[in-house]
Amino acid sequence: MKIEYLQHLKAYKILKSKTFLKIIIPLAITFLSVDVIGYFTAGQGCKDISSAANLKKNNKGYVAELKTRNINLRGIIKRLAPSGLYIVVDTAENVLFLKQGNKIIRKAIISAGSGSILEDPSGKSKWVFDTPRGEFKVQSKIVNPRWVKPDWAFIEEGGDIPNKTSKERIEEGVLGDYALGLGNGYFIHGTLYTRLLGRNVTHGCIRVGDEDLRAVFNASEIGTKIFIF
Amino acid sequence: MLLKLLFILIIILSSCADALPDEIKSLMAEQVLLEEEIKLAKEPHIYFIFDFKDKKIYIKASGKALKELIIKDFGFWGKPLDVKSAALIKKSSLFGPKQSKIKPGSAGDNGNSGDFQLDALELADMPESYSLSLDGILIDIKPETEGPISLLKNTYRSIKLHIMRPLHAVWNIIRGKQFTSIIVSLGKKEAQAIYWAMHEGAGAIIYCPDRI
Repeated sequence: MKIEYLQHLKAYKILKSKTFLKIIIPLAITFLSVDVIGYFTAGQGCKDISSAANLKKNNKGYVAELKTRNINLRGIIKRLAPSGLYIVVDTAENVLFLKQGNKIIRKAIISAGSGSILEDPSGKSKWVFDTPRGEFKVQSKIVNPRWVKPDWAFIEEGGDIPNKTSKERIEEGVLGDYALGLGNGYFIHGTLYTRLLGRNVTHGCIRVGDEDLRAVFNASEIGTKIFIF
Repeated sequence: MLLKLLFILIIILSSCADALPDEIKSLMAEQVLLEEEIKLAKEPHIYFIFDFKDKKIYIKASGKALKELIIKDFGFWGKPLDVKSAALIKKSSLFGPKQSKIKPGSAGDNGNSGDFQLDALELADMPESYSLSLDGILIDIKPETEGPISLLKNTYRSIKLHIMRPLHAVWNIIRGKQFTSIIVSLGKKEAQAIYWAMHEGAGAIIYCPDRI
């Protein structure tokens, strides 16, 4: 009964038709052949390490030498890592960690860059509001920081850009009580918009809540390493 | 006749695999890994280690692991790899994230009013399935199969992969380069986290000593 029903289906008829089989079988064979040829040709050349190691095989002294070398290499890597306190910022999760070694001293919810793009209507400039990634150092520690508004802030507001020394550029209180400068105009600072902590909303700076900011500020020194990813 | 040919092919291929003591192979691979990592750790950049031995991806800087992500499953195709360091050339996905454009004059709210709408690129906007092209290596990231829709999507990805990777291999051979394809299965959030963190030009090390 089921077979009879299947025989009436259009798809079943197509599957059984000779023309379909004539197309699908060579196609399948072609793809399979290309896949197999690709696999073996891509795999030619084999292993660099093995050929080098072949010269030294069965040499017990060589094993000991390799072990010592690897211990030394691990030591070099360990020495490259920060020795004291350091800051890690996960911009995807909007989290900041104050760490020492592998120990988390403090975890804070932050706001990182929105990734939005702003273009000057004249077409001369373009800004991408991403938080920079990589390794940085605390370059400055500022109490009661004032925001010196850059050109993009005026363009974003749809206003005219004042000259560089204009008082219009100064805004008090918007950066919270403290700021840690990372260079290139980027800061870890406070925020008035605490309900947006945990979201990607900033123009590239890292916003932190008041309590966490105080703790991070007090723990950091000029030169403290900051890793942002 | 066909069986004979197949047998000869297997013999030729297996002759590539040597009978080196495992300990030496493992130590040599580790040595290369450490040497490559030192080069990356000396730079002030974030780098990535795809450790297929421990089934983990490490996001690192200055030798310090900033984040660890678990690899659910993986598969290799093409040239066997032991340790290889390469920079990310390109990220590609079918539906990549789009950065929003700010209209001048539209700012000034900052989230205080009730009708504030967040127009930002966040982790959830990142694709969970994409390709990472490194020099001679193509890493296909795909989510775990969970349910029929995911199964359908992953079947489509497999078909696409079986067509694309031989073409990549041939293209690399023409250019005189070797080619390896790696399929990596991650959890959704982990896949999105890698897409978010890995930028073009970022350094990566592929470590798979057991394949030597």
